[in-house]
Amino acid sequence: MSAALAEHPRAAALSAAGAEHRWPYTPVRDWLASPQAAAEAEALALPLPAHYAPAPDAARGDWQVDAATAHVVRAEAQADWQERQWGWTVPANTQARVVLDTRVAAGAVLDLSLRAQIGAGARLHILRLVDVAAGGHGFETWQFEQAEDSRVDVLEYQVGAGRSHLALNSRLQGAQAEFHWQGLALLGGQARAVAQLRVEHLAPACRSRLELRNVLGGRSRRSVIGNMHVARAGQQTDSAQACHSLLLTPGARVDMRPELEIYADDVQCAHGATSGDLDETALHYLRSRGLDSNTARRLLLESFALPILGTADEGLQAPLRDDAGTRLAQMGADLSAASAARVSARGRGRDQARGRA
Amino acid sequence: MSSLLEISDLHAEVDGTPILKGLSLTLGAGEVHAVMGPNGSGKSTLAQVLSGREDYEVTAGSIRFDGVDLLDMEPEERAIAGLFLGFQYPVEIPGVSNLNLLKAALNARAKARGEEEPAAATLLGRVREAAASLNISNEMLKRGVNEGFSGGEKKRNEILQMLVLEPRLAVLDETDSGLDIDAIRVVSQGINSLRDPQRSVLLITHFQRLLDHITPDRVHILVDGAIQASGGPELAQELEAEGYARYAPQPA
Ligand SMILES: Nc1ncnc2c1ncn2[C@@H]1O[C@H](COP(=O)(O)OP(=O)(O)OP(=O)(O)O)[C@@H](O)[C@H]1O
Ligand SMILES: [Mg+2]
Repeated sequence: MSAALAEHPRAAALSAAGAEHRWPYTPVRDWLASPQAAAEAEALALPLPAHYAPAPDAARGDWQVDAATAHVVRAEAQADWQERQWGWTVPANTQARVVLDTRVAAGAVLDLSLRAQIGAGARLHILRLVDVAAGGHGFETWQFEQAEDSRVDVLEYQVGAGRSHLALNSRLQGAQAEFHWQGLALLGGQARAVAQLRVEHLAPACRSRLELRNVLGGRSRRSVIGNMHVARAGQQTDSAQACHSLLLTPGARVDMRPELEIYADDVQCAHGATSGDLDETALHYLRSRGLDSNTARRLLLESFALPILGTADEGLQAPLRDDAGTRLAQMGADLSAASAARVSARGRGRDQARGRA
Repeated sequence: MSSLLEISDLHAEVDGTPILKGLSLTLGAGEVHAVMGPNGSGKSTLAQVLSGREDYEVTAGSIRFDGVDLLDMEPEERAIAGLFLGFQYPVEIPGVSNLNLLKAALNARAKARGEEEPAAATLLGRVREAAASLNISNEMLKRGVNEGFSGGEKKRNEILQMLVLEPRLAVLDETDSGLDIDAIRVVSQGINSLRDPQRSVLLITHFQRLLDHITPDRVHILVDGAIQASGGPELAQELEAEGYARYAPQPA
């Protein structure tokens, strides 16, 4: 596997992403031996509503996704190299819902390519679940062609400590097509998650929105490139992208690069990014009301992360929020433990000082 | 004899800068004391140290609250023991509603005391009643903590939390600043309604105005990190007329 992996063009991209930021390289097996590994390796287990039917689990295939069923598409790589090449069509004026459930186990590689044609006036909702375990690699290429008045909504929920690389290109070919992406990533360990999101505004009055929130612990690393291409025909383009990150540990990193290629003159392309650690003043405020530090941290993390999941299907919201809540509580507790160690070291200093006084 | 708060020879620093330099103050159960002092004299530092803020390092001295060593307690343990700090600058926390905060705070107290969590209806009733007395609307209760609140609304929200949490000692850091004339009256009524022989209040303020509504048992003047003078309510009136000039720290 490792020889083939080294040849994969994206593997090179992932390594380059790491090199650029000069990460001290720790072999994955060392990290697996560390005590956090067990917590980080908790697999994603969401109960899905009964009306989600499994789609054909073929390696290759084209099929129509439609309103009759909501599909669950699993792309699992337990070991070795798994390839998936799918083509979806969403007929004009229909609605389709898909859960795309991607799991990659330690040592496995998943290479998924997805093409989708979204007909005029059609809507496609995708819930993208990604869980790449430490030592696993997930490579995905998504290509969407959107006809006029179509709309695609992607809600992404990504966890794990592995490496993932997504290259997305959505081509808004018909007037008033819309592309919306909302992503929440809760990453730890040595996770390295790269997303290159490109939206091509090729027709008038199209809209695109990218909103990503990241909660990053351990030595995890998130890279997001939001590439907005506005062709000459893309007058009245309305596009906005935002990326907000909480860096819980000194080793966590995020980089967000907006890239704007604009050939029309009547366009709006907004972009913004923030990153920081948990607000200590807010934390103290909550504790001063009697909340213990774990609860206070969990509340602050949830208030940052959970609003992203608000667009999920009714039946999926509760399991998603529960899963995210559990993971955030764990991330908060790890942080409390680390800061308690710091404070008790300082407390000893204080006692000595008071002893002297 | 029955002192609720006993601060002796307190020294504290922030980022290595000494701010409190030997502050002593004793507050009896049921008493209301006012602390006044010029900008930068250390009033908020005192309040933050009492609440257990980690950025403030106590380098000497002691604080006893109801007979126990307060400095050994975590901020949340202090709160559950009955200490409340009304912040000079209340924090905005979007995404955590005011109601949820109060619920979490009451549940934490119930848990610490081994009691059952208050029923939702009881909680809501209690919060609504207190909110109504402070002109805080239901819509504001549902918003994120202090989210988008005006300066005066934030201060009223601090008093709301105080009324719901029923502390034994409320330290109110400039809760009167930024309040309009009517709000001062409402807030004072709130504070007065809490007064009983067991509860005490430490009012940090710049203005006599608040003390017209809440008569303090004692007034302390804090200059340069230490109490320079203490007296009855008349001390505040003197200050109003003369300022802090005569309490200027003596050159060493
Ligand atoms: N991080 C810091 N490093 C150094 N000095 C600090 C730091 N934080 C606060 N101070 C200083 O501590 C002093 C006391 O501040 P504090 O907020 O306690 O004053 P205060 O009496 O509450 O004033 P005010 O009436 O304006 O509210 C001020 O001179 C302030 O500049
Ligand atoms: Mg102050």
